Amino acid sequence: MKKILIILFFVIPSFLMAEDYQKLLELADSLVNYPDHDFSGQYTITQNKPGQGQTVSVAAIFRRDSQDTYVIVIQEPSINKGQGYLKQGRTLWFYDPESKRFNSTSSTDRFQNSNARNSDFTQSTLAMDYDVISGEEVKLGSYDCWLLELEANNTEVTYPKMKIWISKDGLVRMTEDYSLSGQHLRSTYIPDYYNIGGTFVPKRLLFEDQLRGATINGKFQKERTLIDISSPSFKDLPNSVFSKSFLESVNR
Amino acid sequence: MKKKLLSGIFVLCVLLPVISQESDDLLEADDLSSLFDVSEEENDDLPSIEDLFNKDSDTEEDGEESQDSGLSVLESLTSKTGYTFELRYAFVGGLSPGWGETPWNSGETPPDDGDGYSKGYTTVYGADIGSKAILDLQLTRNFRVKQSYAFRFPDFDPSISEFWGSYNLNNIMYMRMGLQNIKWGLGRNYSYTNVLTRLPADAEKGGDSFSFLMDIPMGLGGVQLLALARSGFSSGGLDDMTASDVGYGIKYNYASEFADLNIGSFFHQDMPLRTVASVTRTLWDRTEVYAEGLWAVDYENFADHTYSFSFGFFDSFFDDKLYFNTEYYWNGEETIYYVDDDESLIILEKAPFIYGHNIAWNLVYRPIKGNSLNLFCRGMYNINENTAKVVPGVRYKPMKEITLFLSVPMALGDRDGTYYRNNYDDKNRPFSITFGVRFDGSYKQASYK
Repeated sequence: MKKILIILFFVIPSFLMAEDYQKLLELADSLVNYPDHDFSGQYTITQNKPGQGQTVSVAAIFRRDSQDTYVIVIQEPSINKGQGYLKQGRTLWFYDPESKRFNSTSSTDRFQNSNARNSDFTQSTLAMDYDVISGEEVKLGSYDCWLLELEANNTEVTYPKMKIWISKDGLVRMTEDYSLSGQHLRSTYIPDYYNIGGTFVPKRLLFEDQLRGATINGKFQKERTLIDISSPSFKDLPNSVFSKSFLESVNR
Repeated sequence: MKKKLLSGIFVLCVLLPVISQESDDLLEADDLSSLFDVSEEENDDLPSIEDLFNKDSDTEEDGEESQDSGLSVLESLTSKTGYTFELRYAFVGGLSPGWGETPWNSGETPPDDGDGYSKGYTTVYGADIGSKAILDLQLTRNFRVKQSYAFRFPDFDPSISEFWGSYNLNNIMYMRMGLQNIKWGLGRNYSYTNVLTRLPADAEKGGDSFSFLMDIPMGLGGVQLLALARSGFSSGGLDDMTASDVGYGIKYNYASEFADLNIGSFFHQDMPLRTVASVTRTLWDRTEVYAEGLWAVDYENFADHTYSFSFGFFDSFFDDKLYFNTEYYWNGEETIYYVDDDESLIILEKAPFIYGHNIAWNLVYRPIKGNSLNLFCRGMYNINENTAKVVPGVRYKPMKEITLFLSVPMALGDRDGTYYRNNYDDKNRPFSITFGVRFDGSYKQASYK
């Protein structure tokens, strides 16, 4: 089905109607969502705060899109080791091994104080959460892309407005995230993907905060976070992985 | 063949450094901007999209290779053996001038003396040194041991705070046995639902617990079964423990996106049977609301029972600069006592909190985003006795290892109220000003293979 959709978009002329743009979003979602498989991967998160240096975190991610749930276990740095996240629907718990408590946190919050948000680790719901306001064909580097302007149709999303670049193969290559007033808050770059049997996993995600940073030598340098994803797998995971008990047991 | 080998070596020698350099550049965040050369049309600070997206092929067919790595992430998380060793140190010093009366009651006669109640002006100098050594060993894929030793000065009080072994039965069941800290309940302000810490009235002290715990995942939550003995349960400690010294508990957690529900019971023959329930839910993706309840019943006389309940919420405002929590608590548990033949008052069980209507609040304000400076105010008020304890203060971490704090613990309300005598101050002074400094740090080393 995904392949048919991709072929359709290859042959579609450069003008698209609003309903086609919505289908394009559905295609973009479907390529990076895994309703038929569990997903696991290791995320290396490098955070650069200008003037404060780099911090590196390593996290194990387990996703089960069919149940809208994910589990994240922090492996590095040692100070945060054993911390974890468990998401179910719109509820997200954060586990702190020091206090041995689960506290609810928000999907829109920053992940480990980086420029990534907790919502960046879940399945993509662009078509469900956003309406396409306009679209045009543009060049992004060597890619022919559709540039879509999106507005959220509910208040539960992290960003109420977005610009999104989707290449002709249906993959999201770049996004710009905006506040309701139109303030540019963040840019996200996804230059490359793994292609595992027609299902795609981002290889690298680069987030650039448009507001946070520091002025160094008279120049404002923005905070950036690079996420490298390794060891992607769609093999089934034990049910117990998606439980509080699992987070409590792996907090070494 | 030789030609192919040479060309292979050439590819390795030429391409590998390029690939590894690219990776290094991305990881070296200082160099990130240099990776994205700026085109004239772009803002100077934006990465050059051209460079980032100019590769011809960026979606590799990884197919089977990645599938083969399969459960490696899960396995690397759960099957490696090794150790974590951690040392923690904290040095605290300060002084606290205080008064046996609050300034607004200074002209009045103090209430009758009680133990530890200080009259007049006193200055307390305090020093505390604490250290903790933690050894966490993953001995086999399924068996893990954790030991935690604490040592404090000036009490010279070495203690073992944790010493347990756990067994993971193929992620179907998690078992843990030994000296461990198990918490029940939400307990932001009133930890009355943490019934595992309750002791019979004749217990000499609340000693260390020895327990066997079994967690069985069910959905996101699961069932917890436990058997718990505490040295305070029996007069002779754990050495001559009998079956009657053991308490038994069961707790079920149902976690879903709609609510997080816990219900559990703990039975020990020398105490009432206590059943607790709690529910939390996050509203509007930001406000955590919660409610708890406790039902305590004399299992030999079910007509003799009490109940307590509480509810509250936690939220943050102004872009997470202000955190606020408040809670209402009805405490139906009273200290149980009787007068014996000698007309002595015998306390059977002491209530952990003041009977009646209680209100608590916590407020933390961080005026500067990203700065450790925070202003706080926490307090507890009992309506029945018209007694309150409040502590406003400020805390600041000028360095990662140094914390400075200033607080003004005070008791408010009726002067014969419980909090006037039993408040945040060690000497139970109803008004004091505390300055303190804390140095703390830790060292952690881990190796897993």
